[in-house]
Amino acid sequence: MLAAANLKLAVPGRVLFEGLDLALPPGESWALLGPNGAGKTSLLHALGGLRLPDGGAVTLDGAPLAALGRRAVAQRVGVLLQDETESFWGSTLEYAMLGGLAHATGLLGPGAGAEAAARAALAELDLGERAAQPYRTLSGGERQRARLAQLVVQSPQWWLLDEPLAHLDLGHQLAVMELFARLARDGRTVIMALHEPLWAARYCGHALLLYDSGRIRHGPAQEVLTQGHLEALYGCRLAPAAASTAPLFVPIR
Amino acid sequence: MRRLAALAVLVAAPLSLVAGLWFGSVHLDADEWFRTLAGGGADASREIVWSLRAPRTAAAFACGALLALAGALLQVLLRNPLADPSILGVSGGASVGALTALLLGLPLWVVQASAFAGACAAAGVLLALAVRLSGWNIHRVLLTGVAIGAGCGAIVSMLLSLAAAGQVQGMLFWLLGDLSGATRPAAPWIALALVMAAAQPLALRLDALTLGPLKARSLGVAVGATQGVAFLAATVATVAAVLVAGPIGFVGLVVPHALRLAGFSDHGRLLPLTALGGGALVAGADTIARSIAAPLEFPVGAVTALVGVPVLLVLLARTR
Repeated sequence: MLAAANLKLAVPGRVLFEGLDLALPPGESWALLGPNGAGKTSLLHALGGLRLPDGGAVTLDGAPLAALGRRAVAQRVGVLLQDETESFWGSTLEYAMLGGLAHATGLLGPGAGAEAAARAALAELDLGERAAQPYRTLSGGERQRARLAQLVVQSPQWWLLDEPLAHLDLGHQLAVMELFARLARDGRTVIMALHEPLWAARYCGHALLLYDSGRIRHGPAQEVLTQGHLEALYGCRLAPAAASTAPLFVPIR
Repeated sequence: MRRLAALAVLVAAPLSLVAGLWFGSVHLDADEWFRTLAGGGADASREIVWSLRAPRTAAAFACGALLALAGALLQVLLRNPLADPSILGVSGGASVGALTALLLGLPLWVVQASAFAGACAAAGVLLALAVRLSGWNIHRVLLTGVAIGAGCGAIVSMLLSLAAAGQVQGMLFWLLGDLSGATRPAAPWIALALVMAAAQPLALRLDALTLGPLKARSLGVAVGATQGVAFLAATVATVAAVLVAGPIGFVGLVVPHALRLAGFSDHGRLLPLTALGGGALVAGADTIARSIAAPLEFPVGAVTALVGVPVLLVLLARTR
């Protein structure tokens, strides 16, 4: 179980939030919503052990993340970063294969198994034909899917996703949300920072709202994603719009 | 392109060693040369091939390999394509030591000892600051290296202006890289073996580091430890090469980039090919430097750049 206990996160000059207790059991899918700067990225980084908590602890099966080796953490917790430097010189296939790093055993590099896994992951993200293309020549949306393919190769139990839909066209937004839904059905745990409550309502069983004030609200999605809560969260008025599968809110003046 | 480049490096490496034994200020005809290689030949030929050319060529090869490897490692560590062994400030420290001894007219072994002391002093300051700095920040460490290098450069300029006209040429030769004193190739080869042994197992982790430290951590890399080992390996490589050959520039820049442009981005293959390519470049350049206008000898650093620059420019022009 990946869990946060009494977690406090701060940036220089400002406390983002404190006192967060959160447990992410297998098979759950979480939406992480909040205005810009509320601490969504910081929370995901803390849950992935990429930054230390400013108070409280993040634990994996009871052990603080900081006490575990990076490799041991990466075998079980994967992170999709919002920004990534684009100085990688290799092909898209080589990029995806780096996801196998935490599982690699040989000194000479990942074996043939890793290459097959990377090809399958690229095909799953609709990038099969881009395998040989240099990663740096991919479009923004293709890079985003290549990062997700790398995460598929890493195959963690916990998927911490920072704006997974960024740069994606509508068709691929749907495809990757379906991928996350499959993962959750297979017993993986997914938590994703999103800016669109519609996707959260349709695909996530749970939601966590991070307010500007540092206030936190979390629980089952249908209880949390209400017009009132979202208006307070984003500081704007919303109006319900007709939609077939889930409540849809549009901002109004 | 990839296969061609790999083939070129794999052929050039042994070829540079053979050429180093074949060419020189004294011409040996083919029959005599082969007899000497087989263990026969005249005493003079054996002396020339085995006591002069062989150790010098071997030392040149090892130094080239070390400098190229140091460049490849520093480029990943800094994620800056312009990183090069001179950025460590170690070459600067060695230059100050060597030139001080040369200015005082001290014998060759003192010059070498003094260069070693200078390199160790620079590396010591760098590592001491690296350890002292809270939360090991590779960029600050390397900026420190640049500052040390700049300071040493200023001292070198002052030493040059103090020197008598007759001394200046020897000093310039040292600064441009000079292998004429390289009679014992064992030390750089041992350093090369150590550096390869330290760096090669890091190959996959270095691949991940090119994506940035945060991403590398998320993929399971202990970033601080990996950077520390790679940084230490680059420092050892640079010190070892500079002490034998002087600060030969450009090898650390041109060889790894030429191979990256040819399509080798994974460090599993990039590091060994870089070592072979750097070795071939410097061994070849040294052979040219000492034989093309014999008995006149050119500084090996100048020839290295003259050979390396066109290769890099062609590759840059051909690659998207």
